[in-house]
Amino acid sequence: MVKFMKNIFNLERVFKNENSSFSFLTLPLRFTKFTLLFILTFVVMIGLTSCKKEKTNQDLLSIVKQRGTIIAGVKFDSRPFGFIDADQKLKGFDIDLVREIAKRILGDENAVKFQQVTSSNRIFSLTTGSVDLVAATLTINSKRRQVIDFSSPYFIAGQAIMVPEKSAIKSVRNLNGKKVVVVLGSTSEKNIRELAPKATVEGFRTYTDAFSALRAGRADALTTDDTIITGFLIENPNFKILDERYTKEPYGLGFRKGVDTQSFQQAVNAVLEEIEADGTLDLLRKKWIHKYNNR
Amino acid sequence: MYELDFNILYNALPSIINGLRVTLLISLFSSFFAFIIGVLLAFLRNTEFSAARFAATAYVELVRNIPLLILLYLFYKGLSNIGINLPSIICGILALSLYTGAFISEVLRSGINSIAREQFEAARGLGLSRRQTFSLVIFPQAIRIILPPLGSQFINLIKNSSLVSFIAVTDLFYVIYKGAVDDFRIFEFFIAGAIIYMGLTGIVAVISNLLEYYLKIPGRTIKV
Repeated sequence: MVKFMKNIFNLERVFKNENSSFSFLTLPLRFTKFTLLFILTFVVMIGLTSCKKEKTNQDLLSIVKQRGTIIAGVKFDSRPFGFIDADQKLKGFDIDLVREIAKRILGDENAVKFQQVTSSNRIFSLTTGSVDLVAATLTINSKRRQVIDFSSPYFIAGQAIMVPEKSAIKSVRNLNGKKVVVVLGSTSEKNIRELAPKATVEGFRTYTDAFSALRAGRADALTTDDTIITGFLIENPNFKILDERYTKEPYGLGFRKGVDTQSFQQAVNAVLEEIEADGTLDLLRKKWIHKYNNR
Repeated sequence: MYELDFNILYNALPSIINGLRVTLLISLFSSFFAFIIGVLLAFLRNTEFSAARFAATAYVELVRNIPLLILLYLFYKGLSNIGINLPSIICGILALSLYTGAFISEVLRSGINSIAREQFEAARGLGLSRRQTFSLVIFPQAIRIILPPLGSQFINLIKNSSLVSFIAVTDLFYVIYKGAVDDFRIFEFFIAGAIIYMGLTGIVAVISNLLEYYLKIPGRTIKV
């Protein structure tokens, strides 16, 4: 083994006569060996990561029932859907919705473990299986449908634009040549490139970062769903939301694709239907989406 | 089972090249400024003025013990609180140069200290001024000794430059990250990113090795 290692690294040659071995000609040769080693390491790493995925094929619904809790990915930075309030407690529309689902599936509204996700990593937290479902202002669209499954929509938002109160921007047409901040991985990021092709778009990882850039005057506007903007307006009266809505963004719960998650999806969809029918969902909308009227 | 599909990278190629351009720009400017800052600091730490020595030491100890991300946010968010809104790319270059400059000055100082004291005294005895001694006798020898650790500092700088994506500079990492979250293809984009960064730092490594080989002082290499 030692001999083998010595051969690979050419240790003897390097150590015995260091000066003569290091020439311009042997340099590429030594680098090829190291490159090969690097590629080998990569292949092994990828192999290991793909093997790990094959472990669970047990039905998700029975796993959840056995575990006694639902692990839900929610946002911590998007008032009024999922946010940390002044008393350091997690609150919001999505939070209450998941609690309601837990209550109807597991019989206990506290049987939920909340994990923070952001617009950029919510899809990955599903595909890697670290959460059972994602309730994080997730717009249903066809591109995402190729990777994950959605529940029936539980809310319809629309993309809007937020500007400082004294801003001259009246409409999306005024945005050309201006700087717009977005959150990476959101649908609004792609839409704004089509709506205002000449605007500079800067992406951040969280809404907190994006909004603080707008507040500092580093950008002229922020674009995202109107619900999230109204959430910011509650605490920041120096800003306003423009009247136009550019898209319809149906929010759905996200699930990992797979045969094993089907029964869990059906159970959740049944709950959604149930709470839509008995008015619980309407109560939640009234509770969280204050003055905002759903279009 | 995750299926790798590298074809997805073709569509993202133009934006990756743009990101690479920004990363190169930031790295080149920061390397240049960091080296100048490093040389200045190392020089200040070896002068006879105790105030300058103290200031340089304080700067190095302050900056190199702060995480780079905090430094970045200080320039990006902190300065805008007091009304100075620098473009984010300038903030990135500033933070990177100041940060790496502190490390480079330590590397340079170790090189300067490794030159025998007698050489300094001899040079002074021959009538060279302090500045001449530093630039003609000490520095040319020191720079040869510290080439390998200096190369590492520039390699670190290139890799650290990925942090500027946090303040919305559209550098290589920003593009890679955006591609990964837009297409839900984390492995393809991050592996491609790793290889590109490796290529960039590899170039620096080769240059530093070649410089080391061609500039080496005969008799100073230790034979095992």
